Amino acid sequence: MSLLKITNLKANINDKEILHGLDLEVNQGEIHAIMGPNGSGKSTLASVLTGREDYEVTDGKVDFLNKNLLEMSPEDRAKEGLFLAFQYPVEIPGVSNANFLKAAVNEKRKYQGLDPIDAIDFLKMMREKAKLIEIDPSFFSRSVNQGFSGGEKKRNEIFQMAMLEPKLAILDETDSGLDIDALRIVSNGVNQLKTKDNAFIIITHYQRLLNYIVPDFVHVLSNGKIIKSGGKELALELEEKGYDWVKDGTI
Amino acid sequence: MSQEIKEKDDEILEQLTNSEYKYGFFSDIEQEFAPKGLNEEVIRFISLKKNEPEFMLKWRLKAFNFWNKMKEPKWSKVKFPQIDYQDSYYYAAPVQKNKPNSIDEVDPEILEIYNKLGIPLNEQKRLQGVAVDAVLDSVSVATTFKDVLAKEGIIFCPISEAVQTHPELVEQYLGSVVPFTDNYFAALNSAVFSDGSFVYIPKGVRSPMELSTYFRINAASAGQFERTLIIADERSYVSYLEGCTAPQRDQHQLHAAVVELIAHKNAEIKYSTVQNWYPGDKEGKGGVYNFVTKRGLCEGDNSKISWTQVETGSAITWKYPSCVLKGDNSIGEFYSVAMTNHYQQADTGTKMTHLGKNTKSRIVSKGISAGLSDNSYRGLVKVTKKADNARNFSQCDSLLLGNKCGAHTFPYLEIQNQSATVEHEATTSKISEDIIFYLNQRGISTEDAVALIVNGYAKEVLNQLPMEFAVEAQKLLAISLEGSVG
Amino acid sequence: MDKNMETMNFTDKVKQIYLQNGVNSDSKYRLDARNYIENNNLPTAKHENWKYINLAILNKYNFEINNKYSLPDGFLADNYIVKDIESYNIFIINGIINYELSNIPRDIILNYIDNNANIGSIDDDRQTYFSQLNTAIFLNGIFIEINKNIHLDKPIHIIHILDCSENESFINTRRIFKYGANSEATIIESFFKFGENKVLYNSVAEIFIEENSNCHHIKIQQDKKIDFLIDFVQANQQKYSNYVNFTFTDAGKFVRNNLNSKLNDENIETHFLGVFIGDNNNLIDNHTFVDHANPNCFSNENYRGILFDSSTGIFNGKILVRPDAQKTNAYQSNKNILASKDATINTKPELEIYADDVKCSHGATSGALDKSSLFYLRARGIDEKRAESLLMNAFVAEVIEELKNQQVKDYLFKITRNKLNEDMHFIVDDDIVNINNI
Repeated sequence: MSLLKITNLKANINDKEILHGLDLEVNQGEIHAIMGPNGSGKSTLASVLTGREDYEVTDGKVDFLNKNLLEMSPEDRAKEGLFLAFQYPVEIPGVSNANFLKAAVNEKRKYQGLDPIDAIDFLKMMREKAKLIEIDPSFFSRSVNQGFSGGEKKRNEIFQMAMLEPKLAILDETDSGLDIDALRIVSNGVNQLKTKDNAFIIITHYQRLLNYIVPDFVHVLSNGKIIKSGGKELALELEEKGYDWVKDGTI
Repeated sequence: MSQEIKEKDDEILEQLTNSEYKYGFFSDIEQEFAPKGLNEEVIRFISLKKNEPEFMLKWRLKAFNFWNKMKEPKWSKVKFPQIDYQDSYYYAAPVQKNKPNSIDEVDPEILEIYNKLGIPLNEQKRLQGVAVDAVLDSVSVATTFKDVLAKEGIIFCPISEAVQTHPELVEQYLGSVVPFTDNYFAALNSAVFSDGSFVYIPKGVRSPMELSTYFRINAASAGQFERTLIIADERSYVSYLEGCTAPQRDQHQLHAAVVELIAHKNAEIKYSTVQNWYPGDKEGKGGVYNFVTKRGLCEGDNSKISWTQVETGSAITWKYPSCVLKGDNSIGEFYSVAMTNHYQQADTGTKMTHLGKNTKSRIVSKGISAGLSDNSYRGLVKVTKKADNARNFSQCDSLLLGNKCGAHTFPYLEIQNQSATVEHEATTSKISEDIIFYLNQRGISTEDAVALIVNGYAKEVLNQLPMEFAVEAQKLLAISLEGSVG
Repeated sequence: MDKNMETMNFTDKVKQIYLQNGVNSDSKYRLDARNYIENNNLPTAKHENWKYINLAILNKYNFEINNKYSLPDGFLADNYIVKDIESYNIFIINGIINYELSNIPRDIILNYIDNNANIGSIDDDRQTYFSQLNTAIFLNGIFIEINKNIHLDKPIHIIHILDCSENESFINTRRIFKYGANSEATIIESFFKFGENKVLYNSVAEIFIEENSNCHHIKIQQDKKIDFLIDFVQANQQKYSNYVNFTFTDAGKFVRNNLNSKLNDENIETHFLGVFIGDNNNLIDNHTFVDHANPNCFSNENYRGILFDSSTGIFNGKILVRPDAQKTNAYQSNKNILASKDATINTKPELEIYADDVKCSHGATSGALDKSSLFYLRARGIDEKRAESLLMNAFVAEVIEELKNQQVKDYLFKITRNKLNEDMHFIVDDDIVNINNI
């Protein structure tokens, strides 16, 4: 079943068009990788899909589970099951990871018509998921991302993903700046969370991550459009020949 | 610290304390004065000397009457004995046989003064790419590159001349940013100012060179009250430099200047000062009292005014170059290095008043105190109700050299708009002995190490200065600072 | 009531009526204060320490000095006891101790303050018009001494009842807290109005903290009905002592706190912590002063304010480092959130430093809630309003977290949360910030 369908999406920031008519469809059980050079619009796509204020959609359509995604508030998109692992996770002093996640989990349950999760069950759930991402439970009481290293922040994003069990998760350059151990932990987490019902969009600059998370489709984003799509072998080809190769190919 | 090193440091400190003020010479030229003291007659005398139109005299008299009712302000941290305003000359001018038509006709004795100061005015030796207006005591004695500028439509002349040649501009703008009611010294200046510089940059013109005024107090017991007015019309740009020195005298000299800047839509004014008035000797005798009002109005949308100052001179500095950010998206900046030594006192800072939407201001202040001096930063960031999305960032650092000086920070933040983001940070510290040791270990002498560290500390501000000034400013800091490790 | 009172301004009332209110003291200190009041007027906004404030509003009321100590009708002590904190409770009614309602720990000395009490630790240049007025005319107060070597097992909670059920009241209360050497105790003070008339409460505390003792002082100003609350605290610290002051203010019409500490010896620690939340058109003013008079001391200040509606917040924090106070470390931070388009914050963090081998810094900010944090929370499915509440609670919780006593912290989390719920018209779960509840 189709999870996400993007049709001719155009978007501006500060009156400058970044996405020039982008099309993409993601079905349940699929992993899509979006690759592209700097400034090609990869992060803009993530921001537009999650509803960041500064971006203005000027044309096109995005359906998420057959609903108009662009009409929803950022929090409703999240509650519908859309998750973004941020490229630059913010530090939120004074808000503990535990309380933050409890609020998020309960908001989602409320949206689904469920009762709030019991504190004991919640703690149990946190412990389980923490094991998956190999993080120490002591971090539950620390403020969200405050004083975290780059790798810890990225791991925390994946931990949150595990807790919120999204239908579609977008990983925005989650691999950038990770050492090989962290990369392995993050990929393990993703692979274990993958089911036949959910889907992933992996935005990345490097082919390296795709050795660990094997994509079903690879798309090349350039100048605000997808200019080439293919299987996982496309990533290797890109690594070898560079982006100019695809760009030239389209002209 | 071992006793030996301590003694060495004291010695270096002592050397520094004795470093000479190299602009302290006095030139014996023929001058004419208004009668000593201040009254309506003196003001009429000045106005008559300048052959001013009626509106100027009226304005001066109004300012004088207002000043008469005011009291000297007491709120700053500087302390000085009561000034006897009747014991000063309010007009002193070098006697020039005939009004010179070109620099070549300027009295050679006067040219010599400026040569000694390193500001050659004659055609051959002129500073490259800088037009200079030279103000000696109360009058402008020469302005260079006037004709080159005139081709662009730029007016750069003594303000006394502008009163004659462009009375409509003077009448429109004079006192529009700093009204004579503003403060005690602004009122005094409005009543008695005798000269200063006037700049008008027409629409769409970028000034092809830096404009500069060089102020020099020469006469004894003479106050200097110059007035600078800079108007940047829409889409124009100008960078303006101001330098000052005074002879070494035992008595205090009063300097009460007013500078007004107006930036129209999309215009930018960059105003830089290297202030090196005579600071007094190491016992605190003599030196200039520098009571200055400087304010810029970002009148139009997207306009920008930037103040940069390096303050090393004066016995007392009382000075707050400010920006009124009226136009939407306008920007105000203040970069300052203030160095005090011996008995010097500085109370300086800025006011950023955010009136328009999306206005931005940035304040970087670096205070350096040595000897027995007192150095205060005093600033105000005010965000009014309508100034949506205003932003300010202030960084005010103080460095203490020696344990007999003081460093103070008095920032006022008055915020009336919820969408404003205002951040103020300040630190006070001394030069770390670890860093000195590290540099010593790399073969750098303590005095060089301190100069190095201070220059690094002041760099963010010095970088804002135009090239010609940056070098001079660095030298000045080095003279005042070398080796003064506490 | 004096017949002329209607036409007199506050200064006149002070000089002609309040000063005559029968204090007979031969204390030089009190006579000097009386002399000061006779020769000075109610300060105006021109006075640097009263900038932004219009005290002329006091002219409108015909306050009478109120020393009534009998319990008013309908008074229920139980309403004022904080059940969440195990504590010794001491009730003072218009400044006078009510022994029947109080339970007093052993190992302390509790007493009234008499006219000739040993007071006078406030330096002249720290005095305000109101501290002088208090010194000149106070009749009542409370004296507490923690005996040396005593670590009190529970906090002492002093409950100030401002009984104005009979008239517009002007109440002057004095407190003296003495901490003997090597002692440790927490004193909580809260302030409540009883009655419908206007009240002006003008209180002064002098705290003496002897060598190696620990004073935790929590001031909770949460009764919005109090019209004018002016409090002055002077701490005097000896070597190796630690003074922690936490002040929470949910304004009445006008609250002014002066908080000073004088570091009289070496190796002293001082912590000034504060949270203020303003609403309506109320004004909250905190003036603090840390006097580093000696070397090797540490001070830390952290004040945070949130201002709703058309309220005004004022913060003025000064760090003075005197010439001999080498190796001083002093930090100060004041952060504010303007939560309404009509709110105002005026903040002035000051450093006045005369010693070179020091590390001092201060910072002040004003702004709205951080947009990227809000978006981050929303992208995790948390509603905008809840996200805002979460961030506001976290903003104040960071200050409360610096305290030690868990019951006190929990209580402060609760009252700040309730206050924010009320001002944001939004109810959040009880455990929104307190991580210990999961």
